[in-house]
Amino acid sequence: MITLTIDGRRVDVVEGATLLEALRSAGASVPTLCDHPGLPSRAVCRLCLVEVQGEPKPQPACCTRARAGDRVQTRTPALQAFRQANMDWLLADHPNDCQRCEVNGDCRLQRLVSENHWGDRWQARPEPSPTLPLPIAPDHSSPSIWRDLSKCVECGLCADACGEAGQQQFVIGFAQRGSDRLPVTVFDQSLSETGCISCGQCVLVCPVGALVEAPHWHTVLAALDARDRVSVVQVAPATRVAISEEFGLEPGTVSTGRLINALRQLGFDYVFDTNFAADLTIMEEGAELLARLKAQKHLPLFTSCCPGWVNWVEIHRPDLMEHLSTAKSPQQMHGVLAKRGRFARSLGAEIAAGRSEPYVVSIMPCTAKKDETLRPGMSGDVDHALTTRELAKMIRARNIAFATLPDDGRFDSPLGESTGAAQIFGASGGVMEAIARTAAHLVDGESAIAGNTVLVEWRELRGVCDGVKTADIPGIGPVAVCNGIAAAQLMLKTEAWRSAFVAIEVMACVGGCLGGGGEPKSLDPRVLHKRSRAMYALDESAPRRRSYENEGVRRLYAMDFMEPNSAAAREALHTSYAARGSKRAFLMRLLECVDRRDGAGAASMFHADGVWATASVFGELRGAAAIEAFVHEALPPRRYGPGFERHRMASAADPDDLAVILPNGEVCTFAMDLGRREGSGAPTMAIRSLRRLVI
Amino acid sequence: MSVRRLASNQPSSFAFSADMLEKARWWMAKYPETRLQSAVIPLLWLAQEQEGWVSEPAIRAIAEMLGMPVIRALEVATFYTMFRLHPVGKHHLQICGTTPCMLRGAEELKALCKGRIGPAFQVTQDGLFSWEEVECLGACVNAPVAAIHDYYHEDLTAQDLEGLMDRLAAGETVQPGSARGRQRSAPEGGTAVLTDKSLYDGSLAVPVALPNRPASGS
Ligand code: SF4
Ligand code: SF4
Ligand code: SF4
Ligand code: FES
Ligand code: FES
Repeated sequence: MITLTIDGRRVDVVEGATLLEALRSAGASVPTLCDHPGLPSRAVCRLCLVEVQGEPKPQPACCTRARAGDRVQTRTPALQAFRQANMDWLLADHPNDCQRCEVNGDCRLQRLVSENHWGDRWQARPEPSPTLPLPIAPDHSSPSIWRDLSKCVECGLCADACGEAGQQQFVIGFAQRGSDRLPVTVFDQSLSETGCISCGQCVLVCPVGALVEAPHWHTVLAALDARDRVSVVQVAPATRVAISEEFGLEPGTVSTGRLINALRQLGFDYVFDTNFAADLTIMEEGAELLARLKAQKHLPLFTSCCPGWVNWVEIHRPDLMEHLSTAKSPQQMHGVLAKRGRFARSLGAEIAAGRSEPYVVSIMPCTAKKDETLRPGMSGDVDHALTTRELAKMIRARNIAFATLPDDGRFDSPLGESTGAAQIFGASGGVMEAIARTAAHLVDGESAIAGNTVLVEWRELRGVCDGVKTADIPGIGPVAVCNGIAAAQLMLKTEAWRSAFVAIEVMACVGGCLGGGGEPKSLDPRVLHKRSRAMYALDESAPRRRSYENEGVRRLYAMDFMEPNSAAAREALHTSYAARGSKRAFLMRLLECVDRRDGAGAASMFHADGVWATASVFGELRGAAAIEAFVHEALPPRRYGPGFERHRMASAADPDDLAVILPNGEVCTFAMDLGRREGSGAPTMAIRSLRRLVI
Repeated sequence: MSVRRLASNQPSSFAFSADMLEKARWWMAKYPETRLQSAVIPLLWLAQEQEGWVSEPAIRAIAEMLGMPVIRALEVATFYTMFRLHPVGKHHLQICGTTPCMLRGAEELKALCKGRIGPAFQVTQDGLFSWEEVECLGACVNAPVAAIHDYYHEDLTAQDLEGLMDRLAAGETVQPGSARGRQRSAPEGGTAVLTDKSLYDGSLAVPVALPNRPASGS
């Protein structure tokens, strides 16, 4: 410990602490815009400058080490004047447009301006700046993340979150220098053209509205207000341990009941628990693992509940696809049950007959869950995925006093029951621990329940700090948990994982979903620990802690699916993968358009003069217009909800396989030619010819 | 300073020529296997020597050679103004515009370039010329200065530069150095100071062998 003086107050801090940490522990504060716990300090905003006695110039508190005996001033007139001037520069380039900004009310810049009364010289409409290198068009190409660099304050945090210090995806970096400096993608590609996995860690650290999750909450509020459909919402495990932070409660406060009450007040007819589907995921994934162990094929099994990780595999390592569990993520399992299953059929004749469907929304700690709702083979099962932050905005928009709501809300039946094993899905290691809890049951059946001897808690798999965690599970074998995509990348650099483990969990975000890109933005360096503690406390107090003990899940198997991995379960609860940009990926997207009768979407995937030989009475379709008309007019009208019919890929992960199972059960395959399409932007690939081959 | 964006027309591929590749390997060999990215600046430079500018495929290829993320190589290429992100003419003129050169007539050189070539970075129709203004070339004593290829042309008037361009256009080689024929940076018209040998010991400079001196060249 060393002692220094800050604004006349003595304070003790550990050696190595920064002046910023020291002054915070002294109860002082300075404005900061470019610091973030866990990321390197670049000291670019210069708002945190403090005067240290003996130093000729003010020092940036965020990256200056505190020394014993330092005498520090944080608010001298000179410093205040400097900060004001600095802010004037920042605002000179910044749109004065808060009321139309997605982060209005959750913006560090806005807060500094209003708290310090720095806005007087902020022009109502800043001149287009001559120093800005390009007209910066907002990039809305990604279904998960929007970028609007006109709001960027060039703090560099996104480049760090995506770079060495964070996700190591290197999608965003800092190009140019001086006043031209901007966080860019490789060659200014739109985000959807890059290798971005939609994890949203860049969004989480952006202090302003330059990076935001693609906002869907306005649409959802409007749909709820319209009240013309039954609405269903599911809530992910990591949301209930974090939403409290948005309303000033201590991080780690569990708000399940409050959350449910708030969702009901917002107008949702049914409030369900994603955890129900997490238990179901464990049953499916566990059974899949046992089957693979028995056949000694496609081992180790990789978990598939993190869409950021699934994106990564499909984009960067499609050779690993066969290792991915084919089980859908809990969000998508829940979605298909709520929209197309027995529950949906119980909602009335219109829905049962496939003429209408419930409106299904999910609340997720994650931005990648947004693009997951659009994946071929499952798109439309969830209408919108909202982040925890978006939910908080909805709650505020409807003036719901969240913090004072009674914490007594209960999830609805039948898709609301869950166990402790499902709850810990939200933490890194949780999925694997849940598998461990259920594995013995799956191996021995009921006998294990009677004895109840199987270990419940797997502490070696827990924790938000370690990169890779391992354990040896009786009846299964050695397993590993990769905490964050960077840890997974490192593990995959060598080939040792192939023989060392039988199952590997990967969560793209460090800490798992509780550190997800859709969680509340937090500057608390211990926030992951706090959320994780809350997560495991929920598990500990749960009456049931193993997925197979979930009565609702048992009923579901008894009534609909018989047993895990049955044909019916495979059809509803499992999915297929395709390398990004491959013919298979094109085919899957095209069939998705066909199933939704989205003629324009289907046509847009073809060259203007593309050809589609249907091997049917419809013959050969030539040109985009003919294809559009065919999908719109020739096919029977689509049905909704339980009546919706899909094409499915015959194989789950065979990268070159174009065999398809039609809704009527027949199997056919396709031959496809892709070609470059030159347009206004960068050239893209499109289908030149597609030929259906009846087997 | 000019705004540095990537050229919108990019070639579809890039490969080092055999002899550039050898040079690239020489640079890479200087660094440990895990730190190859230290060679990014020399390799970008070699790419520019070869193509005249640094293209998108070149940046990608170099990042791959060095096992570094493409975005990091892009950051380096866009940070240093010595890397040209647009194609340039066969002869790219770098006109120094910093104060000493400005005072000694750089404005006229720039005006000539603008008139004869066009705006900075624009390549002439015949592909022969382009120009840009650069910061101090470090040869202020011989201001104003223009760098063409790897050599300095000094003490220039607009006519001198015009003459250089004519000869280049005609495919002739041009002689670097002072346009007024003075030797290096020696005072014009002979020594004007320290003429009184009694003020120092009077010995002439003794030639020494410079270890890193190029074998030939001016
Ligand atoms: S980023 Fe912040 S300061 Fe800028 S417009 Fe949005 S809310 Fe206002
Ligand atoms: S979402 Fe993730 S991968 Fe994509 S740019 Fe942001 S940090 Fe990088
Ligand atoms: S986009 Fe956001 S995080 Fe990235 S540099 Fe700009 S302000 Fe910072
Ligand atoms: S917070 Fe210290 S310089 Fe920005
Ligand atoms: S100012 Fe032109 S070379 Fe120095």
